[in-house]
Formats: sequence, structure tokens, C-alpha cells
Amino acid sequence: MPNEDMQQYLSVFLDEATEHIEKLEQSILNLEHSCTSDLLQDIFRSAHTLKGSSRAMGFGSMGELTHAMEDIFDRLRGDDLVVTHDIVDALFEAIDILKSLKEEIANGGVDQTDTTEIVKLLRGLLDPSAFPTRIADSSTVCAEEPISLTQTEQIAISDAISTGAMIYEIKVELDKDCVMKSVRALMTLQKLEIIGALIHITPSEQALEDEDFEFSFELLLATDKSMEDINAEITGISEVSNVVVAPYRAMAGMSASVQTANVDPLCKVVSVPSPDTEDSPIREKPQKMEDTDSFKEEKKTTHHVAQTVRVDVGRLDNLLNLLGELVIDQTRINQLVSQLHSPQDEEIKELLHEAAAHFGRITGEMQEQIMKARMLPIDNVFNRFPRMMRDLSQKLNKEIDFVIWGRETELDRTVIEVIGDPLIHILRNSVDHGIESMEQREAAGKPRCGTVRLGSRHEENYIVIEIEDDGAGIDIAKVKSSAVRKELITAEIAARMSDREATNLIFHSGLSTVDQVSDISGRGVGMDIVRNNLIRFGAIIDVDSRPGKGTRFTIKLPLTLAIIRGLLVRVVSGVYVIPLASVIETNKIDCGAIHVINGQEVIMQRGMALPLLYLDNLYYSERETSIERQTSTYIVVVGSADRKVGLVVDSMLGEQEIVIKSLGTYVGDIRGVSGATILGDGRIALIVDVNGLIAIAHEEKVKTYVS
Amino acid sequence: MPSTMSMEQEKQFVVFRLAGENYGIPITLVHEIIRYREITRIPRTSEYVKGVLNLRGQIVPVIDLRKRLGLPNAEETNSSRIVVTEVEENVVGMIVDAVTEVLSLPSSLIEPPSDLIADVEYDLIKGVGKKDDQLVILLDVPKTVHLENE
Repeated sequence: MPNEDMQQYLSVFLDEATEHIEKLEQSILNLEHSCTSDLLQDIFRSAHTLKGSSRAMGFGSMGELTHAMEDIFDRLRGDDLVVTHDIVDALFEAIDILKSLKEEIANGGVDQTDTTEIVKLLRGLLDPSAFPTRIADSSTVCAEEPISLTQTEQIAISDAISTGAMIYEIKVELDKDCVMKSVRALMTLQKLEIIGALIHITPSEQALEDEDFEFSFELLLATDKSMEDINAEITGISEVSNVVVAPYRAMAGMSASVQTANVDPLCKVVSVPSPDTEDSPIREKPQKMEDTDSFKEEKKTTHHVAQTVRVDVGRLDNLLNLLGELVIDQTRINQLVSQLHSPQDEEIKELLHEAAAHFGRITGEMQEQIMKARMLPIDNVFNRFPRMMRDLSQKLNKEIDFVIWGRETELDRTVIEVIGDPLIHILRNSVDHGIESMEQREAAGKPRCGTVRLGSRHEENYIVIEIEDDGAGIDIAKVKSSAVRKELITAEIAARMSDREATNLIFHSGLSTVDQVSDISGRGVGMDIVRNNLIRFGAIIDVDSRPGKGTRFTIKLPLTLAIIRGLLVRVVSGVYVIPLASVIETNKIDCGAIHVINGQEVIMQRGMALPLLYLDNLYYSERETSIERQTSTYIVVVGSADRKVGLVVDSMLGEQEIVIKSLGTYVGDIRGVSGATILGDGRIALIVDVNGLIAIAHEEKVKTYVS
Repeated sequence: MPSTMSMEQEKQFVVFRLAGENYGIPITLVHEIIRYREITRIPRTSEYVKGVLNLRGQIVPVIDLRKRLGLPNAEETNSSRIVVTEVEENVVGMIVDAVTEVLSLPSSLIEPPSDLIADVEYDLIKGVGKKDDQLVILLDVPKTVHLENE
């Protein structure tokens, strides 16, 4: 196989592997809450596909590990193994190893992490003697053992196969509150007799008639109908809760796997969803892929429903760039149109105007569509938290119900990239500090199990993320005293502070109300970093807490970081964009009002001295100011409440939405510049990084003092 | 004989003029050549980084090749061009006085740099090509576009 082909397959394989591993991790987590047959089918299918593809790509270790996992799922599904903590832990360990195997493949192309230990562990779990097995009474057949057949039955099977029929193993489960079990069972038999020949029934037909069985029975059927048809026949009978149809294992060989014939939505097989699934906080995604194992072929995977394609984000960015070019051309056409003067051109001018306007609308719409294409559901961040929360709660010995809502809220991938870490911090805090120990909760009359809710929703042009716990809440007195002790505020101020203000003190650095530092949180460095990170990309965080009831963090995020609103200003060296988020106000000032204090130009504003800065001076050390020639000028007041400065500009060109672009690795990071944008006329304008600029000004001042 | 001649490796160079001299860079490294256009200044960067320009929505840094090579400054003229190079995925433009031709040079006609050209930055020069009395200074593009202070 040519190398690049291989490379192409490899990237597809890795993408798929990532998806399956993620799905496995999520599903295993759900296993602990509710072990439904739907879920097990899903898990099994993921493991099976992963096994197949890793083997096909020649990644033996990965194949072996997934095979071991698949066996576990198969046994869980076959009802002769129950989900225990040990199993889930082992499976998670396996997932971690799978992840590192995947990384190795992605980096070097070889899966070399040692899997023998974990495979041994998994195999050990398969030994039924070590673990409680589910009620294996006389009427249920252990799923891993082929149904034992009499000689007559075996002959019947080989006869049936010689006529081209297939042998299916069918397991039928009746509703637990079914009142006439024997009737339903016999109806099933009758139906099946029509489409094929019944070879074997466990328990015997007599036992079924006498109602001498639990709620399930198994059959061997020889037929030329498909699994779907068989399903359709049986699911038509009322009070049948579950039907599993699979090729007869003894025929398919040892490794053949049971598959629930699936999933034409019209003949849904697994009919009654367990109520557990609905209660479960984590909704299952609809199954998109169908994966059918046929009797004759070892492996045949069909992927239907290809309504999505994977696209490199770079390509979308390129599209956006090219679109920007179109917008520029449109502006130019408009300019050219306005240069047509002679009267006979009037009509053409009109038509051109119309065309250009239409052109503009379309490019605008295209831009919007491409931005939408870059959006991802927030679940891309959320999905890694359940595992973390599980580990945390185990470590801290707290029972926690972690609820996620609003997984489908979409936001730009630039935001997705930066929101993960702050959320981890807050969630850790909620578990560590928020939720009390089980004893404390019981003493306070609360349920032992604490609840942490994480969710998101759209609100106008923002995304709102909420993290809520029903823990002890923030102890305001403790926060205040800690803040006073650390000299963040004076006792007097503390006394005057409202509860809400005091609660927000937790975002100050160095403040921790926890006496003991744990390795999870409590060093007092978490929340201020969280807030600073959030503020840096224009997000707002707020905290609301009620003693004894719990705490809620609300984060308001912009939909995208790729586009911001900016104020366009002109100075001698060119046009710059000042992010509107850092603009406090704009003023026209009288040049006579400028004073010089300690070599620094200032202007008095509301009794405060506002330092004036010149972009050209800070950027290029050029003292070219047009002020001297003028009587008045404009200033843009920027910064935060305690660090305001006025940027002196020649003119303000207005406010506009701009697409942020990086200056690239070649130019690198430049202090005082956060990026660039392409203006409507095709020129590039730099985006001012206000904080960086103020820092430069500060240093320059120090330098002048020294010299 | 002719067959061995044609067997000899020939390389193609884009030849441009700079302060009265001919310079060449391998055509394989040239992304495109565009007319001189407005360049946005970038503060606090190397002296020879002229700024950035908009190449169909892509922001491309441009270096002032005269400054880079230690040649005297000159105003841009009508024939000024920007040679956009691409080295290891870095797209960088270079301002030149004029682009003249594409030249095929067999490697036998390329000599190592000599003292002849001592007035430009010596280590940026890979060799000198000689063809029909024409002297072409061959630039080491990766070194030329690379920022020293990195």
C-alpha cells in the first residue's frame, strides 16, 4: 500500500478511535448508573468496531486490549456478569491505556504501551467464580455456553443449513408483569413456526405451557428470513419486553459475537426502554451507526446515515479568508460605481449598485454560515467531566450526582479551546469545598448524595454556563476574615461589604477559606486564575451562594473569540483597532487642558489625573504628535477601573465587528499588539492589546526616571 | 556528450535586481510575485521586518531585503516587487527593486561565494551563478528570512 494512502487511513482510523474511546468512556460511566441492554449494545459495538479497525491497521496491542474489553461487554450483555466497581475501574484503566496507545500511534505510528497486565486483569474479571453471577436458574441458559443439543436436533441443524437456511439463537424476555406467560410464549412459538423451523426450545415447550419458567426463554430457529424479520415477528406480540436475535454461535465459531439485530427505526427491536434510562442524568445520544455482523462473513460493518463530513478547521478558515477578499472586491466595485459620472451611465450605475448590494448580502450570509460551520456543541468540553467527577468523588469519599444539561449548545471552537480549564477548576472546587462529607450532609438533614449541576444555554449573543452545587455554600464570615487577615481589605471595608461583594472576594489571589490544603484545591490560587483567564477572553464570571444551600457560578461567554467589536482609530502611523471591551469612554479634549506632571502628560477628569499615552510613541518611540498643531484632540479612555489611561488619537473612524487574525509565528508575539485584522478596504490594522500597552508605558516611565 | 550535458542537474532561479546587482533564489521556494503594495508597519520587531501585507486574506510578513543585506535604502518605484517565498510553511515576502527573469543554471556554473561580494551580508549567500557574462548572487533563502534574534 502506498505510504500516503496508509497515512490517510491512519488519520481516519485515529479520528474514529478517538470517537469510540470517548464513547466507551462515557458509556462505561453510565453503566454504573443504569445498566440497560441498549447501553450494553452500544458499548459492545464501539469496542467491537475499535477492535476490528485496530487489527486491520495492524495495531496488535490495541486490538488485543479492545478484544479483552469486548469480551467483558459481551458477558455483561449476556447477563452472566454484573457491573461492579471493580469491573468499571478496570475498564477505566483500560480506557486510559487505550488513550495512550492512541497517542503513540498518532505520534510515532507504533502502539507500544504494555497491555499484558491490563489484559490479564480483564481476563481475570471474566472468571465467573470470582464474581457474583446473575441468577442462572434452570430455565436460563448461560449465554457463553452454546445451547446443548440432542443428536436429532444437531441433524436438524445440518439439514437446515444444507437447504440454505440460517440458524438463529433467539432470546425472548417477557414483561415482568405479564400475567399469561404461557400464552405469550406459545404465541411466539407459533409466529416463528410460520417463518421457519424451531429446532430447540429452552425450557421445553411443555415447561412453557405449564408456565414453569421465569420471564425469558431461548430458541433455535432455522429460517431463511433475516434477523430483522424475526424481530418484527416477535416484537409484534404484546408483553414481550426484549428480543435478542443472533446467529447461532456454535456455527459462527468461538469468536463470533452476539449482536442484537438492529436498528431500523421502523422495527425497533429493544422495545421497552428501562425507566432507568430516562431518569439517568446523561441522555444517550441517538445511535447513528448500524453495525451488523452477518453469519457468513467474519466482519461486515456498514455505516449508514452519512449526514456529516469531517472538515479541517484550516479549510474553513481559508474559506473565511477568501470570503473576506470578496467583501473587499465588493467595496471596490462600489467605489468604481460612484466614479461613473456621465448621464448616459446612470442606468448602468443603478444596475451595478443593485448587483453590488446583492453581492454584499450574499457574502454576508456566507460569512455567517461559515462561522456556524465552525461551531461545535459544548459537549466537546463537557464530556470529559463525568469521568473526572467520578474519580474525584471516589477520592474524597463523597457521593455525587453529576448532572449535565444543555450539552447541545453550540459555540465557536476558539471558545471551546479555552473554556475547559476554568471549568475544571470550578468543578473541583465544588466537589472539594462545596459538597460536604456524607456525615455532615446527613447531620444537616440533606440527602447523603450531593448534586453538582453543570449546564449551558444561549442568551442573546452570549453563552451562559452554570455550575451549581447543593453543598454548604460559601462561608461569608470566613471569607471576610481570611481577606482581612491576608490584608486584601481592611476590617472596616469588610464590615460594610454586602454578602454578594464578599462572596466575590473568592476570586482574589491568595484567598482560601480551607484550613487544609488538599491536592485537589485549597491553595488559594485557583479562583483568581480562573477569573483572569475568563476575563482575558471577554467572559464574565459571577458567583452566588447561600449558606447551607449551595453555590452557583455563572459564566457569560462570547459566542466566538474570532470576532470582536472594535473601535477603529487613526494615528500618524496608521489605523488601529481598540477592542471595545476595554474602552471605557471616548472624549474630545482641549489641548490647553493637558498638564505635565513628572514628565507625564495628564488631563484632569472628574478630579482624577488621567495619564495620556501616544500609540506611536509606545510602539515606535516616535514623538510625532499632531497635537501641537491642533487646539483639540480625541482621547480613548481604556483600561480597568483602577488603571485607566487615555490614548490620544487623531481621529475615530467608528465601531465595527472585526475578525481577529494572528500575525503568525514569523512575526511572533508583539507586546502591546494582540493580533491584526483586515479592514474593508483590504488594509491590515493592528489590534491594540491595552494591558500590554499600559505595561510598556509603565516600563518606559521607569526607564526615564532611571536615566 | 550532449546527453551527459542534459543529464546534468539544472536549477531554475528567479532573478531580481537589488541596488544594481542581480540576485537569484530557487524558483521552488517562490510562492508568487506581486506588485508593491501598502504594508502595515509592525512595532517592536526586527529593523528589517517592514511589516505585514494582506495576501488574499492571509497576513504575510514582509522583509526589507535591502536592509537585510546591509544595502543602502531606496524608495519603492513602479518596478518594485514583492517576492513571496515559502520556506517550511513560513510565507514571507521580500521587497526587491525589480524582477527580471527566470534563469536555468546547471550546477557546474554555480561557484561558492567569493570576496567579490563582500559588501553584502556574507553568510546569507549560497553561491554565485555565472551565465553569459551575467553574475547572479544566489541567496540562502531560509537564512535570509530567518529572524536572527530567535
